[in-house]
Parts: sequence; C-alpha cells; structure tokens
Amino acid sequence: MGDPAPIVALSAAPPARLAAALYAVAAEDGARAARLRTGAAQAMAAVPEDLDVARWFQAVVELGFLVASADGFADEERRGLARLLEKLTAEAVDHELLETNFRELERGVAAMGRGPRLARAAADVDASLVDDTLGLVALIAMADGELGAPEGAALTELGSHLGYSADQVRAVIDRVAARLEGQLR
Amino acid sequence: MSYVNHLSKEINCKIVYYGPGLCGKTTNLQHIFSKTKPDAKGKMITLATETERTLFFDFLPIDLGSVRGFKVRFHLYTVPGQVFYDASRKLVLKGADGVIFVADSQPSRTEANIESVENLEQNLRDTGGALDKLPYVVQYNKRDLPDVMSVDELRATVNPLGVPDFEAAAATGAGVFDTLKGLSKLVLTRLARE
Repeated sequence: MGDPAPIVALSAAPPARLAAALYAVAAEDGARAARLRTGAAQAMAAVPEDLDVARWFQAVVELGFLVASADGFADEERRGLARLLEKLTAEAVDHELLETNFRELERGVAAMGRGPRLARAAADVDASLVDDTLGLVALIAMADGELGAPEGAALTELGSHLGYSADQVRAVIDRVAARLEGQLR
Repeated sequence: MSYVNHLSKEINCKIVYYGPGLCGKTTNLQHIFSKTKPDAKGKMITLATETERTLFFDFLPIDLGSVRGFKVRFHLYTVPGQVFYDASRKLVLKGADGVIFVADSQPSRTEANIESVENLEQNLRDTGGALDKLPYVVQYNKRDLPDVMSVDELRATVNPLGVPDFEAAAATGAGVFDTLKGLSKLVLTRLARE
C-alpha cells in the first residue's frame, strides 16, 4: 500500500512561484505580517520588551516545523521554510539560524516526542490568535505544495490543544488552500 | 539528549521522574509546579491516551545561570500511576538527560521499589542507555509516614550505585527541590563538559 492521498495538493507550480504565493498569502493580513516581524525581532533581542509576542513567534516556528515535518522533512523543505520565514520577518531572523534551529527541533522531537511538543508550543498561543496561528501553520505545512495525511493529523491534534474541532481545523485548511490556489492561478 | 532552541536561546533538557506506582512522582511535579514563579514556567500538561497518561511541564530555574550564554530549561516528565504497559515507561525515558528515581519508604513497597529500579535499568539498556552513564539521583519519599524503612536499608535495596540520594516528603514539599537541585547540578556539569 502506498502513502494515503494528500489532503491538499496545490496546482503544480515552479518553486519560485509557489514561494511567492506562500509569501503573498501569509503577508496579506497586515496585522499578522506586523506581528511576525515584531515577534521575530523580539525573539532575537537580547532582552525582549514584549515577551508574549516573542513567545508567539517561537511557537509559530516550532508548530510550523512540528506539523510540516510530520511526514518527513527534506533538506529542500527545510531550506524553503527557513527562506519563507526570513522573508516574512523582513530578515529579523536569518534563514541559516532557522535551518539550524529546525535541526535542533528535530532532536527535540526525538527526545520529547511530537505530541508533547505540539501540546507545549500550543500553550504559548493566545486564545485571540488561535485561528490565525492555525492558518499560518497550515500554510507552512503546504510550503512543499501539498498537505499530507500525517501533516493533517498533526494539524488536527494541534487544533485539539487550541480548542478547535476537526471540522474547524479542516475549514482553516480549506481556506488557506483556496487562497494559495488563488495566488497560483 | 538535550537540544538548543536558538530563537529562545535556551538549552532544553529532559528530566524523568521514575518509580513504582503511587510513590509520589506526580506529587513531586505538582509541588515544583506550584512553587515556581509563573513567568519561569510553562503550563502543566497532561497527555492522555488509552494506555498512558504523561504529565510534564517545563521551567527555567533562575538560580542555575547559563551554559555558554544559553539559559537552561528543564522539562520534567513522568508517567503517573500504575502504567500497565511498559512501552509507556520506555517511551518517557527516551532522550532523558537525567533521571530521578522516587522510592517509596514504606516497608510494604520494598518489592515494588526493587522491581521498578530493575525495570528502569532494563528500559534504559533497551533504549541504548545505562544508569551509570546518566545523571541520576534517588529520592526516598514519604519520610513523613510512620514506620518507614531506614535510609541505610533503602540505600541497600534501591541505590546500589551509591548515587546522590535525598530524603523527601513530597506531600509537604520537604526535600523535593533538594532532589531536583541535586540532579540539576549533575545535568549542568555534563552540559558544560559537552
């Protein structure tokens, strides 16, 4: 038996076009784009002035990694995700640091388990940001052009920690996929 | 197997509380959680499946300083209660940077203590580790109960390696932080060496 069919398979597009679509959808909400930039800058500051937004950004990076790597995490996907986050944060955080961090997070999953890490990182997401964060994580998971069944299961598990039903998570996935398709057309 | 979070500038270490059912592992965690300042700890999380219930939280001990400029975050784990499946205990040991064995000081729990230590050794071996190669301390819990075994008797039964050991009464909090600090020193020494 082969792998189960992906939950989302975006229209085939060259990597540069897919990357542009991902950026466009992630940045289309001005408040979210600003929060990403501020969160990254605060996370990188020696002494963060706004610990909440720094923690949210750290949680987004870890949750994005945890979901996107649920079906494996190829070097190309790691690089692509690091470049996307670097661009989204207006280079407040460097892609090489992010790539290094993803490798360390892989060690973290090996030691602590994906489930416990999902639960822990979810705890840093404020209730008012649940929908937006889930959308962002879903988008990150689609950075390779599809959302596989294991990634979908991880998103559903994340949703349960954030108080979202499987149907609500599915609605977020469909919304993000539709926006990405709109950009790819 | 510690890992570094470069965004939070933290080294993350996994500490596992191990021991027989009802020895006070969860009580240890709950006491530490209740006495740690809110801004230095994450949420206490319980992950339940059909066969196991893993309890954990993480915290930044403010008095431990840093290692090469990185703060050290401890993730305290246990599988509380009498877990039927040994696989759950094995899983929680995976990747541990340090282990605290919680022994029950009551004479009636001697066999359970010995079985649990042997189980710990076996499970570590199965996951490629060894008790004598890991930061490891022993806590003799429930010292507040009447008619408990002497510390010498307990040492002879559950601490043959002669690792640092601590008396505790987790229900009142006595000895709980001493035990954790004892292990923390060993973990930090190893981290600094690596």
